[in-house]
Amino acid sequence: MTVLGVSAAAFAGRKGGIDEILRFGASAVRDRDMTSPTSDAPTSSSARAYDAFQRFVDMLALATTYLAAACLFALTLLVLAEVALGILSRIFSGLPKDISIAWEYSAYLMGAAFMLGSGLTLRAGMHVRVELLLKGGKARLARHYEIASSFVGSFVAVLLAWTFTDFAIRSYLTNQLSQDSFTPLWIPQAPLALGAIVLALEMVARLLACLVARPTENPSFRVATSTTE
Amino acid sequence: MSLILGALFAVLFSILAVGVWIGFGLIATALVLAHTFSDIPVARLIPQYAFNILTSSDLVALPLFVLMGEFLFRTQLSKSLFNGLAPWAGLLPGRLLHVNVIGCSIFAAISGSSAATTQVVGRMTLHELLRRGYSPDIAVGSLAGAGTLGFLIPPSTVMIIYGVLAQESVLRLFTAGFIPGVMLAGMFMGWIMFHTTIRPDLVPESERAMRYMPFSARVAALRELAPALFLIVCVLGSMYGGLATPTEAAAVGTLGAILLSLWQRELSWPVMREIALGAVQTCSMMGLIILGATILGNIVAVLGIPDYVAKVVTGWNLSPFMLIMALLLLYIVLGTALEGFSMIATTLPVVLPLVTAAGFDKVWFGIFIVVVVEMAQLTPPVAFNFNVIQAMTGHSTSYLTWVTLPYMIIMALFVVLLVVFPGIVSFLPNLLLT
Repeated sequence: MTVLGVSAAAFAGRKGGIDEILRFGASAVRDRDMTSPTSDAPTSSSARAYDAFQRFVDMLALATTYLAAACLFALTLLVLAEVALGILSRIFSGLPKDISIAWEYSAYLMGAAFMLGSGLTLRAGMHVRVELLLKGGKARLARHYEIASSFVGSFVAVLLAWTFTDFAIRSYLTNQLSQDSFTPLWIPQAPLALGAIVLALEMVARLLACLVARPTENPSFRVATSTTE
Repeated sequence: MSLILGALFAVLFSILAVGVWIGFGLIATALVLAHTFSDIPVARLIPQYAFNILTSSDLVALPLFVLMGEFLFRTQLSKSLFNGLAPWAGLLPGRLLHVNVIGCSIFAAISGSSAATTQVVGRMTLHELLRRGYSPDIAVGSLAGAGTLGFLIPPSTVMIIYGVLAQESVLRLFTAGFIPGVMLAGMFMGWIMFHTTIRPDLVPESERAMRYMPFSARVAALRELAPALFLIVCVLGSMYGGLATPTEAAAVGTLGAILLSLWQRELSWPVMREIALGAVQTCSMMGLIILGATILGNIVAVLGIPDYVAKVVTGWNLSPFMLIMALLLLYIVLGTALEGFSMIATTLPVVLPLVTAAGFDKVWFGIFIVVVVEMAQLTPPVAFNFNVIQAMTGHSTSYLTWVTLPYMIIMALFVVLLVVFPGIVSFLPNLLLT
């Protein structure tokens, strides 16, 4: 029966996700002229509301991306310090051989960097997807695919944000500690939750952008050079 | 059970085809399967799976190699590789075309990415080869082909991701990839020599003069290779010598790349910002795919799909050779629409139990899958190496497909070679790691 209880909680979470999408999406759909997708979107109030929301989410995403960069920087320093100490301890016998928390904390920093940068990565159009139908098919169909995939994406992203947050809060309330260093686990879990929330916001904003016929991506946020372009 | 398996493929295929981001699509498939066929408390499990994989210490080498790549991208390594290798490549039939292959091999031994390898090497060689009058067919084809070595010759981001998802030692994979990488580079060079011998018009007549360069000038040119060799010693030397784990080697390599770019005065604050944000975006891109793969992999395992598939395929009584050929075909088809990371992420939960049941070693299969991922870089419409080259030359996709076809065939033959002689993969790990 506990299994059922948890499933019910999961279902409640899903409903929350859908509700959130519908609340934003409904007004946008209502105001949109369904017959011509390229109608005067810029002047409608829903488009203006979307613009404000998107600006806010982009600012948030940019801020967490800088946080992610800081995590990456700290991670590099931590591993380098570990390497340096390993070498120095062979020369000076008094030094400790390693930093006991280095492995654990560098992994925490990595997790934070992965998630905190995810929102802006989506906005920059850098998350990988299959673009065969989106780019190959007819423009009208492509629009439907874009809305459908943004809807599925929003659903999953909101679910992730909700479960990650719940996870971190439960760790805090039950005072979960890590096995190696007795670090309270909510500390490394919180940035994952924050990153997932920003990702979910960007994802929902993208769904709205589709509905009010605004550009879904902002290529000016695209900076990564060495892997995809 | 066959119903669950059918649902897995149907849901996954339709979700991904519509254009749902790979990571989200994998998670959505996991949700559908778990809710339809079981009462697993999936919402309770997802954050635990996510936390375990996103903070797994085996994965820490990945962001470090990505960061290192971003720094290297801003150095003048492409120029120094060209200047150092050109005098030697001029001795071989095919002349400077070999700079593409050797340059890519050397850069691949520093960097973990194939697109970065293509771009950094191509930035210098393509312009120079075309200016000197080499046939674009072979100049572009050999670059696109050799650029894929970035994944096979360690370090390699694909190997890190495979290692973490397949729970296999990354160091073992890094050691196993070296000989296959060098062999494949050798086969590419062999093809260039053969091709330019039967078609002498591909190389301009004037290039013959390169054979008569004084020996002292050749030796002097080697100095140009010092920065690259320094970085190779930092990364591969420290790992193979048993001094460093892949993560430590990645950190030392990153430090080396930072020092090199400082020394070449390439760093300014705007550049630093680009490097940091670029590395974060690449990491996040990979992170979401890894997250999705882990969640789907766990759910699929809980549902018992891997065991079922392994049993069914064992029942077919395929020879291991036929099985690998079937997988090769499958991956070539998948590779047209998916890029490498996504291909591994979507297939591994089902395919890995299958090949281990057929008696293949996980390290061997890792090398197989890396070669297959390399081929995916060259199969349109989704072909990252093409994107890189198109950004430089503007050639059409069909043209690039045609000129890289020989290299695709060589890679397919190489896979057959790996099946027949698995020792190519296992020799070095057995020698260095006991």
